[in-house]
Amino acid sequence: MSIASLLLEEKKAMLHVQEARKRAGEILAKARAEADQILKSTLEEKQVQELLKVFEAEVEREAEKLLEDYRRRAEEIRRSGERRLEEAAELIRREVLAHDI
Amino acid sequence: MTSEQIQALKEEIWRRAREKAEKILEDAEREAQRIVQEAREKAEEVLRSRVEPEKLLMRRRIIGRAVGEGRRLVIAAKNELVERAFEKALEKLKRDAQAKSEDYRRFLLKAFEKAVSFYSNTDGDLIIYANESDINLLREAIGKLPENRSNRIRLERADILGGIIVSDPGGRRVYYNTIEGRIEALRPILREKVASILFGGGGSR
Repeated sequence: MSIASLLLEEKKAMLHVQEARKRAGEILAKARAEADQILKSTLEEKQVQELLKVFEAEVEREAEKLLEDYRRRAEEIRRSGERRLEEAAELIRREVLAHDI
Repeated sequence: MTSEQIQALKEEIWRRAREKAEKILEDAEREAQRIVQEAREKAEEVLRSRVEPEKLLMRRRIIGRAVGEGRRLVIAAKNELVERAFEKALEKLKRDAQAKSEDYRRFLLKAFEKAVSFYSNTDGDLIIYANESDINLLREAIGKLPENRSNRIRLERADILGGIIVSDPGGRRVYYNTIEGRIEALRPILREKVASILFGGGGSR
């Protein structure tokens, strides 16, 4: 073996490093392209609409629960009022037949 | 230099080269991950700033609609009960009038006295309209008035639930005191009292 073969080996090693640099450049270029794509798709109307659609369904479910609470409250009013109907009707009867109003 | 030394140098050259290459690739991978992560965060931020105002409006619209509809349901339930109380009261009053209950007789005679008093400053004739079943009661009451007054009062049958309507012959002055009239006149005041009984203090609206 000679110094010449050593220099050749040195050159090959440098090429190996260069190859790694090239590969690193490709990795970064790919990442930048992916980042661009991510940002670009964010601005697409379709994605915005999809997000809003999911959100709308969520809020609709919440609204339905709310409405169900009101329905229950209305039913409870009917049920409890029903028990006091006789008392209320008697009040009206008394007031109509009274002469102090 | 011996061949062993040259071999050792070659191995050292390659060890350093491999180490350097690996570091370059590792740095690149790390940088790539950072770039993508940063883009994702930025994208989320952009999306949030674009979508959040719309979400807020959407939520306000949908929840607002549900609350409005819910409140209408509650008000309708309350109104329904209040109306039923009035219907029930009307049935009771019908029974009172038909059975000539003590309360009803008192009401009718008081209405008659008020009507006579209402027309006390007039000498003209009076017509009293009443339910057929009340005519006899009213005739008795008229009979108790002085003759010059009772002679000028005429009784007429009317299709009313109870109470009286009194008028001069020309219909210029009319005195209304019927059950139906009173219930309608008192309705706005009674609604509040009825709601208070039915719903424990809350109004019907």
